[in-house]
Amino acid sequence: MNRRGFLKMATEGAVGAALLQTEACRAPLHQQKAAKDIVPRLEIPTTCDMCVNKCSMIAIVEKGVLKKLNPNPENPKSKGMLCARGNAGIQQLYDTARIKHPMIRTGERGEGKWRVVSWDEALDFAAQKLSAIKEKYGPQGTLWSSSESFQEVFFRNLSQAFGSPNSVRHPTLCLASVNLAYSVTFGTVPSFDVQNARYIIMSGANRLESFITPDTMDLIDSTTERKARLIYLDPRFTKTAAKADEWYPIKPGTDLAFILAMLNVIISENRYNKEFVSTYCTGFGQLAEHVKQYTPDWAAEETQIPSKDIFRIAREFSDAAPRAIYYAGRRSSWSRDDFSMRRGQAILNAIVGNWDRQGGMVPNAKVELGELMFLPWDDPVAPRVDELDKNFLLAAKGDGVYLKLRENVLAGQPYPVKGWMIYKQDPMSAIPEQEKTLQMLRQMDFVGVIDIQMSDTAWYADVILPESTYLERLDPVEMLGGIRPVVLYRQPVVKPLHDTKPAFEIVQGLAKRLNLSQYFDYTMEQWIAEQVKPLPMDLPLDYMKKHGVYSPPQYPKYGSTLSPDHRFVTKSGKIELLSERLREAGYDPLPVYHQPSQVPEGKFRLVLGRHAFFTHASTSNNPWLNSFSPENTLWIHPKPADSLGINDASLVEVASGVGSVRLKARVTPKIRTDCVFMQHGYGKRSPWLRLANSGGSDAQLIETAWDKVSGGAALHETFVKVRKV
Amino acid sequence: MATRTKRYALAIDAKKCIDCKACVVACRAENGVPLGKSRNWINEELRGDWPKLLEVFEPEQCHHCEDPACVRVCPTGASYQRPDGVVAVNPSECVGCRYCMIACPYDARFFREDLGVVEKCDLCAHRLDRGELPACVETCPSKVRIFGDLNDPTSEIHQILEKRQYRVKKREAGTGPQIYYLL
Amino acid sequence: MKSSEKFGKNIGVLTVALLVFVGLLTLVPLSTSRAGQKGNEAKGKFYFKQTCKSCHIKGEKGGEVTPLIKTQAQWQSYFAKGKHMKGTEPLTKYMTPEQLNDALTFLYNHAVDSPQPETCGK
Repeated sequence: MNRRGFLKMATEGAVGAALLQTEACRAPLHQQKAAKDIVPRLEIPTTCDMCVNKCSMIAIVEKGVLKKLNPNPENPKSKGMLCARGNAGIQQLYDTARIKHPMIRTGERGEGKWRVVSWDEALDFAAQKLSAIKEKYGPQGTLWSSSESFQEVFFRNLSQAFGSPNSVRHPTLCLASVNLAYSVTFGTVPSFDVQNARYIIMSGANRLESFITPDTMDLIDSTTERKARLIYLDPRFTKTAAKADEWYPIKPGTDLAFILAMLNVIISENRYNKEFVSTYCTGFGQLAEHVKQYTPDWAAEETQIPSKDIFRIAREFSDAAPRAIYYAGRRSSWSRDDFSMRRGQAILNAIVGNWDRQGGMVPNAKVELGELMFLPWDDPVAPRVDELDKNFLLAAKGDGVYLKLRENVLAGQPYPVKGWMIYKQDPMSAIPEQEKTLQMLRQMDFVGVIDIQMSDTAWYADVILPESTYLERLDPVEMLGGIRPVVLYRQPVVKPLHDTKPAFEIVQGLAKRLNLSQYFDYTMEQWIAEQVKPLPMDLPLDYMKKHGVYSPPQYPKYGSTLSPDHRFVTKSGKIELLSERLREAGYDPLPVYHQPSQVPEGKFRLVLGRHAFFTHASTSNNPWLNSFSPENTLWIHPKPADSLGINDASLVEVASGVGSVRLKARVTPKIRTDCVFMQHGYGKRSPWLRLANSGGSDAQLIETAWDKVSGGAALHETFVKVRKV
Repeated sequence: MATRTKRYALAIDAKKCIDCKACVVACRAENGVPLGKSRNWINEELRGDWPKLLEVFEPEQCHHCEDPACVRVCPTGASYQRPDGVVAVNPSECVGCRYCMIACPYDARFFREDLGVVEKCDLCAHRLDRGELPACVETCPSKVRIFGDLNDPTSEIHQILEKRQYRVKKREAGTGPQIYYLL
Repeated sequence: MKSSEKFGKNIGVLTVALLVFVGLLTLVPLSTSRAGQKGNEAKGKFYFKQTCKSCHIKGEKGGEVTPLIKTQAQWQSYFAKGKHMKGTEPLTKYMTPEQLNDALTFLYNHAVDSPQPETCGK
């Protein structure tokens, strides 16, 4: 034995169990280079699907195995970034906990007993069940819920062709209040030119932590390189707070007071853009009168932000205009009055004249895509089960109002809904008051789920139709509008690993059995070929396959709507500071402040949020992401923790009016004394998601409440008791 | 020590770091690093008290020192330094004695029980040799990291270190670390 | 021919409706225009794209036509008049009344003053 061999033997300890069971260990790439052959590397451009930001990336594939996902610098939005989740997409593909075959349950719903079946059997089963429900209750007896996806259009088309009016999507669990408030004001939801803004105010919108998007890149760039000032309001000291120039631990639910006081100062001190207001806006006079009551002194009482700072910020904001923005953010489902606050934001942005200017708010430019045309189906006969026309006159119809819908379905009103098809959505995790979602699942004659993993919802399905992941599929081309619009291509980088199908093929399979084939009688290639026809290159499809992304070079363009004869898509044709449409529908035409409910004695307001490593509740079982935060904790300030005898990492029980969970406490000064906080995406029930079943589920705690105008869930209106266990 | 033609180094603008962990995942994917170990990491520090709080995030990995202690102590020559400054481990020569892990002032190395060798950041040498950036540099959403050849006056890193003040960690250890933290 | 009889009858109704409309604008509901809102929007989009868009694109003789070029009232009025090419031919030359009703519904629902709350994804 040589010296090297001896040393090796002498120093080798017990081989530790350093590996986690869920992930196979691979030798570093440079060791593979030593292999005898030069392994051919394929570089396949495609589009990420770990969240909805659709960043462009290049997949590195060797011998049919996905090795790495690199950012694609050709995308002018994502510009060569790929966040933690994007990089971890490899683990979504190779996740050993994926659903690998169609399955039909054998035991009780939720028992977890499954029978692996062929696609034919699974599709026959689903179609038979749907037909039976249609026979007995009409097509309106089926509910079709889905979240944003390049393939969502086919699922939605199937629901409509089937004759059901009941489609429901994610916006009322997310940003319905922002969408509606800005739509009502401007006729569209603009993008925020964060990269060029000089003064940025964010209410919540924890952009540097809770949702890493290209705006994250731009915000860091503008604040560190371009001297932009960031004012951030949040009851928590988040990572965005850590980077902000000023952070105010605002009393939750009082952001509108802050905004109205800003309007008060800017208008009374004549700091608004007079020319812009007179040319492009209506309702200014009433607005000016309306905000007289909302002084900074009054707002200081409400928000706990000092009056002198409100004055100063209002002045600085208007001075920096048009490069001043009140950033709308994404998940805006906070309070019952959320819509009013977003309206306040929109109005504030309007009167400083940042519309369609560099560093302001820019209406989204688009790239025209073609469309495969076919004569569609008849309209559904029945009205929607959530009775939008009665309860939410202005809400986006195709999205539905999830909480109202659930309430009606549970009550069997106005008619029974007995079948539920779910695509790329996890209602058990996504909707507040989980107990009611469970009840709704149990009430169904049929639950069919199309997903890639055994989510808490899939666990209660009758049939699971596993979809191929985004890395295994050819998807429709997608156009992402914005300041720099892009057209995105997604192509398979590896062959499907398991017996899964893209949603399109699943829909075709169901359609065939439901006699609806005429609406799906084309291939994905044909669909895409129509889409790319209007693109300017000679061979657009070849271009998209090669580059993965196309962005017309003439953007960004500012000011194209700034001509006096431009008509905004509103009733008056102008930017509506005061909205007649709101008044006609029975809502406040100008935002009126209502005090948030006070935190009861001995309780805390439960505030939710996310971190950079997860996308909602869907990626918490990804081993590479889960490792950064294997469980969630309850953030609580040292003072109340002390009086409750709670130490850091001790187990606590959190109880609301609808449920209770146990998780570890995190005693930290980074949160108001009247709030507690927990991350979304933990406490899973599904045993297949063993990494994510740690911590507590916020869905079990949050009480049902919604914003009156948009129907958006009010996720920060729950008060909880906390005790040491 | 030979004078180098190329000298690779990293400059880090930590005020841009938001601790999103993209660099950690990219490294894991690129280099097959198993869970439970990491070639790079983010140091966090929270200072102050409510409501005057301050939090900083600072990425770190092997500093690819000018006078690497890990190379000096290695009994087999498995730890070596390339002419361009990259410090690496040749796993086929490594016997897993772990003397290098003790010698490193930055705790940048870790032991692979499954392979019986020591591992650490090698600035994705295989990517450098293809003309690409290290994975952590390429993927960063905040563009915290500036990588390049210090000896090339046209390189971004050369220029930024001429313009901005910077510090290095544990200068007193005397190994000549080559991660420059911009102030 | 049956369709032309029907057509002649419609002309009479539409002329009256138009006069009333011109006089009283938003106050008096029109039986025909109300029908326009109850057509099938998805089919209307198909007919519009298939038929109207064959000429009404940028650079072609009809000029670009999108739902946004008129208000809801203007679309109602246009379809109530039922005339095409500066009044020289009827719209029914191109589509049946039912198809026209569907097309009107689509155009009305996406007119430049229509409530079109935006959403994410599709």
